[in-house]
Amino acid sequence: MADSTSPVKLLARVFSAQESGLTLVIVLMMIVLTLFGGTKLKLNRVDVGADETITLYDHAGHAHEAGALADRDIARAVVTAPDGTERVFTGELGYREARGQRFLVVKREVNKFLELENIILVMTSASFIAVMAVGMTAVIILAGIDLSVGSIYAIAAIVGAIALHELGTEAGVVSSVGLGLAVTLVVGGLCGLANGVMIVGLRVHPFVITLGMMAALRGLTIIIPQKIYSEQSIGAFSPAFTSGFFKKEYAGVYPVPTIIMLLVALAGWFVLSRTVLGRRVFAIGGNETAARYAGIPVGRVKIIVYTVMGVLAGLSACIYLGYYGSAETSAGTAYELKVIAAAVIGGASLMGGRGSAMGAVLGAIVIQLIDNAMIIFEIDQSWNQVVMGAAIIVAVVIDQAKRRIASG
Amino acid sequence: MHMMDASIDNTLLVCEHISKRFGITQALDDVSVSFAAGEVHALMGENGAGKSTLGKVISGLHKQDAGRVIIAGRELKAGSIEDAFNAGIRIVHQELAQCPNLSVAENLCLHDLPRGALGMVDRARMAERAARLVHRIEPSIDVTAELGSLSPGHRQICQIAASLDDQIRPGAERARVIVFDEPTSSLSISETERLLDVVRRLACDGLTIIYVSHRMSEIFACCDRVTVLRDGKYVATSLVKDMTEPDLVEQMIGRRIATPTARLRTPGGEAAALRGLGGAKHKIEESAAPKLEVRGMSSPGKLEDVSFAVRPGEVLGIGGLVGSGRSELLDAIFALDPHARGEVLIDGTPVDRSSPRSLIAAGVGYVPEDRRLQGLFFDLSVSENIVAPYMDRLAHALGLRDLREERRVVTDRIREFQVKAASLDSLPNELSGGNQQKLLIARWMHADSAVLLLDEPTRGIDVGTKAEIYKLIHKAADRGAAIVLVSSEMPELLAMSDRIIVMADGRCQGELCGDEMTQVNILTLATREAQPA
Repeated sequence: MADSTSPVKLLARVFSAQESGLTLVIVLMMIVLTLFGGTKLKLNRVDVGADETITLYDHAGHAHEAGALADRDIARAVVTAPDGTERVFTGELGYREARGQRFLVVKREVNKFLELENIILVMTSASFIAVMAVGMTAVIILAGIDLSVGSIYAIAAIVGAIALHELGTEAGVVSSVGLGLAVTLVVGGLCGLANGVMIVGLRVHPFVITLGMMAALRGLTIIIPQKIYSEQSIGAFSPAFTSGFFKKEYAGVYPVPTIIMLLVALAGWFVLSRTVLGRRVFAIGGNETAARYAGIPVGRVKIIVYTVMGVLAGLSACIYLGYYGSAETSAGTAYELKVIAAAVIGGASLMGGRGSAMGAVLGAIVIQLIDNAMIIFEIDQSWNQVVMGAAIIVAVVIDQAKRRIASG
Repeated sequence: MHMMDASIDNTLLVCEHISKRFGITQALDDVSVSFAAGEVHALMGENGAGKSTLGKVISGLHKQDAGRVIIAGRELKAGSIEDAFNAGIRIVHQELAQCPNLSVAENLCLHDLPRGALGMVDRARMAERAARLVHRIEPSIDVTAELGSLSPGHRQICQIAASLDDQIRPGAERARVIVFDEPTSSLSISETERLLDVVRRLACDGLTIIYVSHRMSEIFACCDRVTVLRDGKYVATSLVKDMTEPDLVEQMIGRRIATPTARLRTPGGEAAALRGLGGAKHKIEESAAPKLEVRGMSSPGKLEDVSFAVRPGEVLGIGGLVGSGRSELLDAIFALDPHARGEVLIDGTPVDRSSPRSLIAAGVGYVPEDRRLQGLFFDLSVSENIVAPYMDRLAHALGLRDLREERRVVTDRIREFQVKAASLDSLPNELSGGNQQKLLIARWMHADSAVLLLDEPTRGIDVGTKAEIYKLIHKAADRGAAIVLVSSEMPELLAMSDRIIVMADGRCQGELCGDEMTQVNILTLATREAQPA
């Protein structure tokens, strides 16, 4: 039919896809933040090797020795290596010497938002939430809920931190990362398994079971480190685990958490759409009775999904350990709300049957962009919760309105 | 002008040039009908003909795209439930819209709870008012009982009672028009009869009854006139007494088709055999070993020691009233009832009954009674709805879906079963009821089907699709499948079955073959124990 391909219909279709709507929101937020966020001065230190020579040029273009010019007179600096290669710096420059180390201070005016370091920072903070939100999406598609994710995250982090602490600071990348992942994922997975088995076996609503687990696990998180170290914070891991892997620097930023987040999103999309398990999740969430009649092993699927949710909370905890280098007993407090919010903003329906992994990740990014906007616009952090709460309600209302329009 | 053939003078409600579109479906296309005071006026048509939609436009549940609804000379606001209500139009829903957790009295007075001191609910006054409404129709209903504990028939009667309430908000008219939308779909035979009686009494009191249904017998039993719609278009309005069943069917589908009593079955290419017309009986290897055998199936409070066997190519009918344990028996065979005890053997081998999966693996398929509740996944595509039970068997290692194989299976099935869907990715809601049912049957009926359990496979679907489904059932039987058919429609049960067992109170009351298979015999067995001793 002619009208099914008309531009209006096509636009309506593109608009009605959850991910595209969210992407649009994210792009708009980024544009606003870039245009109205303003700029800041950023200082970069450039170390100069002992065998390199520095030539400073004044505004008239004359060359000078290092140290012979005041900062405000430097227009250009050229660092020449012994093999003749040159590094040229312009802008606001300064020359310093400290403890025998010579270096240039390069001041650059950068956009407060649109700058690699800031963007990766947003992504990194989003990744802790997003990794769990992918699992939460599966749980919500199943018409369930998991309130214990914040506590699972905390207990996995604490137990993982104890293991890494005991491993010592000399351990290599393979052993420390291997141990860290193994411990956090297993602890998370076991907690998730416990949730799943109780929900299916005792036939109690997941809200109740996970509410109980949320409190119980949080308690254990406080008790365990007290018994062992009588401390609230556990750190001193092998650098191979932190700066050697989870906080490895590339081009001045720490991209590992962001990469893990994207991989989890990809895996989540794949599992939910291309595997039998994924489709069974949708089937059960959409119509559990029909799923039973179609011979779908409903209980087993539920247990698997809650276990995977726990494993993902463990993975998120491992990233946290590697990125911050220590674990606090208060880690992950109120994360369940952020994780559920990310999944719901990402299009997961609490009635079950609908949701997407990509949407969950985009939802987490939206939440962190709101956080970032508060910082950039220098709004009091106390307003954070208010804005996020409003964002959740607005997102869901828009989603429902869209659905009504789409269904006529 | 199309009213010429059956005109009336005391017109109360007029629909003029109503059109309504849902997405790509033109549900109503320039439909004009008049309804008289004091008549029972049937709206008939196949599924998707637009009869329910017209009822909903009249009662303001749907807003028409064009056209007007006029009651006693006043034009109703399009799509306003409130305006229709104020004008005296009530609707009794297909899906019962009530609060099952509240008492009958609370449900009836929900719009205006009588208040006593301190704003507390005056329970005595509420019960009294509810009783006045309900007992006019059905004196045996206890108004203080929880609504959910009532039978579907009594619940429906409560809904009708609520629509007759004249203590309504100021400015609103008393009920003048009641729209019944498929009112008997969840009722038993005796409940249906009582309902038809109520409908007739209401019409005698001068109310206009708009009766949306596709059950022939009900139309002939209680309606004065009938308007037939087809594909959203008006076909004709006629006096029921001037019509015959074949006339109506012809109007509905635009061609004459065989009724299910004329059994057309060609086993192994043999000539068609018509049961009851002296034709040769369909041949089943009498000596063949049973394909399906059920031994001593019991479940506390539901089933008691039911046993039977079905040979390959045989259709075993299960008769009985609603609530006699027919669906419970199929659930128990399919391992959906964890309390059920008993044995299921396929080709003489006992099947593990710990979960439906082992039965599916053994080639058992089950089309449950309620396709919305137990059958389809409304968030999943047409193709996923078909492959849902065996997606894992089509899949690659590690549960990776084999999309190409799934597509092949689904395309074959859709072609064979002629499921009309815009694409394989359509959602079930975009399909008509008949096509939804075909979709569900297509899920279970395949070349390897050994046993098919069919529970009301033609409920709520149109005549044309019914005939197609009968053909498909025969085809499966001819391939050697054993078929167990539960049906509340007598002609269907009699025509389709080679043998019939009749259930009552969860027990098998008797078995009928050959000439014993008559409506009278089935009803006699079905009501034997069901009556209070």
